[in-house]
Amino acid sequence: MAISVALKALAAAAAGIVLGMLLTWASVSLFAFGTVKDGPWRTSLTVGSPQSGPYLRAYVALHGLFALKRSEAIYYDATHDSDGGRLNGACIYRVAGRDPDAAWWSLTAYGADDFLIPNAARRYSVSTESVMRRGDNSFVITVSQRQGGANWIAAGNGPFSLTLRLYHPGAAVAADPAKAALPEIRKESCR
Amino acid sequence: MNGFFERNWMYVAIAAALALAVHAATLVGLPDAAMARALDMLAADGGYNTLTHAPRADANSRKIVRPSPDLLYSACPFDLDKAHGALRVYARVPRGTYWSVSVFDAHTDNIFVENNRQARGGKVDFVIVGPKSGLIDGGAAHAPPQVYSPTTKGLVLFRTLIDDEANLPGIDAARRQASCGTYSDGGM
Repeated sequence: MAISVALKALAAAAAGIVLGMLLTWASVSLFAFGTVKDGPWRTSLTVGSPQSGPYLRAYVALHGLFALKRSEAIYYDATHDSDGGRLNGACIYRVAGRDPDAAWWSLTAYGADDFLIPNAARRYSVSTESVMRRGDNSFVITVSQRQGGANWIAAGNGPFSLTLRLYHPGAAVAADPAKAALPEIRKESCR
Repeated sequence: MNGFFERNWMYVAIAAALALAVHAATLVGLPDAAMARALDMLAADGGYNTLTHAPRADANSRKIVRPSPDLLYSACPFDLDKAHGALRVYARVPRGTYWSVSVFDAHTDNIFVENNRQARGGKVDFVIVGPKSGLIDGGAAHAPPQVYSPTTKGLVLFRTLIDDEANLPGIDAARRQASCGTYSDGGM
């Protein structure tokens, strides 16, 4: 009887510990509490500041250590395209739009491990300086495993994510990052 | 199902209470643990209170998640206990490109940032003080301003934008003029 009670208590304790850790993982990585959405892009209103709260602080610790405050830079992350599909290297994506309202911006792809994706061409990002614009100042950036022209960022094999960095964002963007005019992410085709 | 809960309500309560406690502990401990790990990894290059200049980020850069390949990073992990309570940071601002110096405490909070638009006279010069020293007597009127860090450990991070590939050697040389070290007797 005593052994049965002890075993049950042990099982309950083990279940509690696992459940607690799962709860943390789910709240931080799955639901990204403390962030706002703008199309396929997600950003935080308080990243880097003491007001960020425990959920956002934990999210930043895992996915964006040393992020700056909103007045200095805004980081938009996307793990899904504009239609809600998970970004995956098996597909070709077109990131289309116009320059976001900022002194400088860049678009970078990261693997599921949150590091830059290895590729022989070393094409990790496209920025204000390197993007090729069309006659009407709009641009289309291809994100794919295979070489995709001048505006190309290499994707890896599996799931990946994109980060759009806006340094010295315009006043309207800084005031309400959820309403910024940002490029859309469209899936073109898949293998 | 109801019978299970009635018979085992005490164990269910133990599991639920422990789950909440572990959730709260991991949530609060995660940023500090991630920061401590990052600081130790960065300090492995040159030690604490020393500025090191990372090569341009690529797929082999595995110390800090989501680095930008368009920026050059220089980092000074600090430990105010080892700096006698105060650390001086000085840099001349490179011209014509985005540049910033930021300070993060051990909880991951960005407690200070100054960029190329804000820096007066084309330079930044400040002293980081911590909870043990508090604000220090700056002495002379021209003593550098002080930044208070709520934790004794943290990071000073310089970002310089590579605005043009052709400018990379010049930008790299310019960032190496910055310094970060123990502040004593009003000087470095």
